[in-house]
Amino acid sequence: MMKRSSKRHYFLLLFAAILVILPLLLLFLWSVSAKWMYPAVFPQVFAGSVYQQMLNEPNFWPAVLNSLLIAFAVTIVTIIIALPAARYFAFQKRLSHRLVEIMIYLPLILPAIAIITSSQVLFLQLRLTGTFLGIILIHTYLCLPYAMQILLESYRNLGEGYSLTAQTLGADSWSIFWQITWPLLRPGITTSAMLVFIVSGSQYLPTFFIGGGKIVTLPLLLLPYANNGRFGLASSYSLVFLGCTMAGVFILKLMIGGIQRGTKH
Amino acid sequence: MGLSINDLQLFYGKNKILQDLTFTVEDGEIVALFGPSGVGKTSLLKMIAGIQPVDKGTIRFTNGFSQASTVLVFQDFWLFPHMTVVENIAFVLKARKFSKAIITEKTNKILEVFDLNGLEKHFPDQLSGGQKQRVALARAVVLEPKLLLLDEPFANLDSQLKNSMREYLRRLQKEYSFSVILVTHDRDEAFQLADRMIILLDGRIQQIGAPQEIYFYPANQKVAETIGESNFIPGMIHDNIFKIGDIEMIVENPNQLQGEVLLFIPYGADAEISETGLPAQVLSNEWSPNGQRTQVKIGETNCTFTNLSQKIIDEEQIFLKFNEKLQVMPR
Repeated sequence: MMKRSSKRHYFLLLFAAILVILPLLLLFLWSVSAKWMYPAVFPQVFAGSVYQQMLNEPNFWPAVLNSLLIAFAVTIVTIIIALPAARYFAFQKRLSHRLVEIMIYLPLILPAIAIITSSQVLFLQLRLTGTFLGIILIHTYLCLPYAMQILLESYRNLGEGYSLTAQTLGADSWSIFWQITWPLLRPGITTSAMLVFIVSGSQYLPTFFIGGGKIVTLPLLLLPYANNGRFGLASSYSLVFLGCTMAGVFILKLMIGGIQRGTKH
Repeated sequence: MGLSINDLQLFYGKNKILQDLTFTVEDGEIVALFGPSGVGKTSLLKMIAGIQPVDKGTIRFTNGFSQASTVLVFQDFWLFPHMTVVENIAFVLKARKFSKAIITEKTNKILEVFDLNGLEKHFPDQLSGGQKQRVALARAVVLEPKLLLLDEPFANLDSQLKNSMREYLRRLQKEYSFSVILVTHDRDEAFQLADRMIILLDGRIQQIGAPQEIYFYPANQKVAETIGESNFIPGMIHDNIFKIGDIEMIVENPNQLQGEVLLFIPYGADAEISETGLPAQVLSNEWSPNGQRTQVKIGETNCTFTNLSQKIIDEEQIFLKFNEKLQVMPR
């Protein structure tokens, strides 16, 4: 019995690994193939020429830096907004959970194109188009639901007991936040920060509209190649994109810190 | 006087949970708030501690008492799981900006007092229930509060531990001389610890008094039933003469009742078996470590007594003479 379940476990793991690795392998093969025609199963000619081409692209390094910069800024702004907001919504007793949920998801429920075009009009008036601030604002708007949802759950799991206890012991709200709430909420904060970073990094439309082409990010370079069937270049950009995201997520994890002793979730 | 609560009310939404709460807590006194779960006792403590807004009424601190010197210890302890025992205790001292030397001195002393030496570096999940309880109390007492609010402090402990923790609290309270408001639904706990008990039922205070007073002279039938050790014997009253069958006895009649009433006799009533008195038929007699438990029939009513001074040997008929005056209640 034991043996069978561990065998099944092993197969499930293998299956999951294949699901993850196969597309990555395909991306890698596309990016290093010079010639890959039907009916060949594997590329016929290997070469590093697309990487050469990618690195020669004048917008490549600015795009990498912009992507990282914007994603980090969006992550920080989003967490700063979401932390107190999630705390309020988690412990308020006036609105039902369902209504709060709908409010949080509203930015994602409304059609993106409507939001983006209308905010473009607004941002034009505010002279925010073509600026980092504009892009960070629109990304933050679209990332907030993800951060809110995770932090809301984290706060609900944590409950009010610890902070009320600290309060009745006479601690001020500053020490309560930094010494009690932050360390206990850390796993939730890390998760939401990583998700926000990934979501921000992969935005195309809002960056395109609000950035107005002046600010280039990796998805902006990647998408045209994928649309035009230049799969080699698209794949190499995708791999760089993946690397950047993983690096960013890793840095965030180091910055915020992971699970601490005694933290239950 | 230390704390005085005047006409306090508590609402859950539109429902009035507590009303007309008026009581005081004196310096160095242990007051037990006794009542069933869900009557708003915890909310009352939160209001006194200042972490829940007061809907209506006043909470006044006098004689050196203040909200800042009032500490609430919750039933679930809420030890900070990411901090060691020492860090848990020192957290508040740090938050209150004590110097390092004083923090070390105070924590060392409190670890000693609470018998926590050797556990300094332990995390809460490595502690037993009793140890957690001690850390939670230590964390509160290290602040040298004037008033300690304890919410069902021993509810999560097994009965043996409960007893030793109660004694412990008594000793501690003598040593540090703080007042305590103890919320409990455990009768024995209230009787053992409290100087005064406040009986909360149906959203209001039914009676305030010393444990013995509450036990022997409950204000009404509800209080008697909540305490849970009552014999009620129906009979007739005229002034202060209670009549059951042909027997007459002099009783307390605080409400000047007339006609059909119930005679209240608590299980623990101090009674002697004598030649004359209230006739009772012995039904059974069981031994327990706390004394014998005797079932008798008085008139048509089955009664229980736990404090009969003589040994009962399956006598058929006895006569009970009570050393304290008994009390009648409306039927």
